[in-house]
Amino acid sequence: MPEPIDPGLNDVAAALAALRPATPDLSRDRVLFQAGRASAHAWFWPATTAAATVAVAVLAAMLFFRPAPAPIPIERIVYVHDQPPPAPPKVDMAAPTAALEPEPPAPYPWPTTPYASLEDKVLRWGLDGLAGPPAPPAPPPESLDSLLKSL
Amino acid sequence: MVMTPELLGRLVDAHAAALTLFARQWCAAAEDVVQEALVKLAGQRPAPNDTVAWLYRVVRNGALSTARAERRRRRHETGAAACRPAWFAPAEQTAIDGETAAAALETLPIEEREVVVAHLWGGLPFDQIGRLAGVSSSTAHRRYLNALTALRERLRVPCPNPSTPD
Repeated sequence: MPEPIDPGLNDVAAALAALRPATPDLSRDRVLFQAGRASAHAWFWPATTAAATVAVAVLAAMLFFRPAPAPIPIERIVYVHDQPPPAPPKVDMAAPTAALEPEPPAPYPWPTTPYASLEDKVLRWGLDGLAGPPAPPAPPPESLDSLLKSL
Repeated sequence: MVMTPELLGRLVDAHAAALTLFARQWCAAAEDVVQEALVKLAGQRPAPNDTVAWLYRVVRNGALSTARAERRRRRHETGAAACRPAWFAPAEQTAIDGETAAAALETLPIEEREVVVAHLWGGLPFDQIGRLAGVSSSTAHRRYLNALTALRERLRVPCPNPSTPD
């Protein structure tokens, strides 16, 4: 509770209160404009911050819970042999000398047809192996009439 | 309560001058401080309950900050304080001249001066002034009385109603 004031001080207060503060160099319209602009932009940065936070959270969740990457098919040409390659000869370590013996030569395939015989001759002896050209046909035997005409 | 442009305009009309005088107790750029406070008030959601007291508190804080910046700047700029804006509007029917009153007010300590300005021209009660200055209401009232006593001696105010002195 304020204590009662001295009447003399009341006069001082009344004399001072009669003075009006100087009109400030403050434009009412400018204040309202600035206030409106500030309030219009007040939502921008909070909204931007909220959107960025949500985006970061979603991306972090996607990164953390993402599935394993699917295998990527690689196309490559693979040559498959119809017949399996011949197995290497088994080497008997117990008897190495037997494996080193030469195999006996296969028997010569003698031609069985005339064509095969001719082919065999050409392959073996070349053109020289062929027989000479056939002899010209023999003249017909001379008859009596022809002999007489020749006289 | 939402701060509408109409309400803000009424606050500017009613309190801008007193708020500027209040801010001028600390700094020279009082208009800028008051404008920033009003703009800040428009952005408050919701608006403060006691708008006038809120404005005085924000203006006081802003004026203190501005005064610190002005002091730093004044070290490099000499002679800037020679041109001081008028605190009061010129008037002919008042017992005290505005320039004299401003000069007398300037001799007071800032703690007493802010109480006088907030009470006489801002219309704030002493409990709000106490909260504003961070002191109790009785301390604010005591500062007010001390300031008036000092001003009476300096101004030698004539009694406006000499027939009824108590």
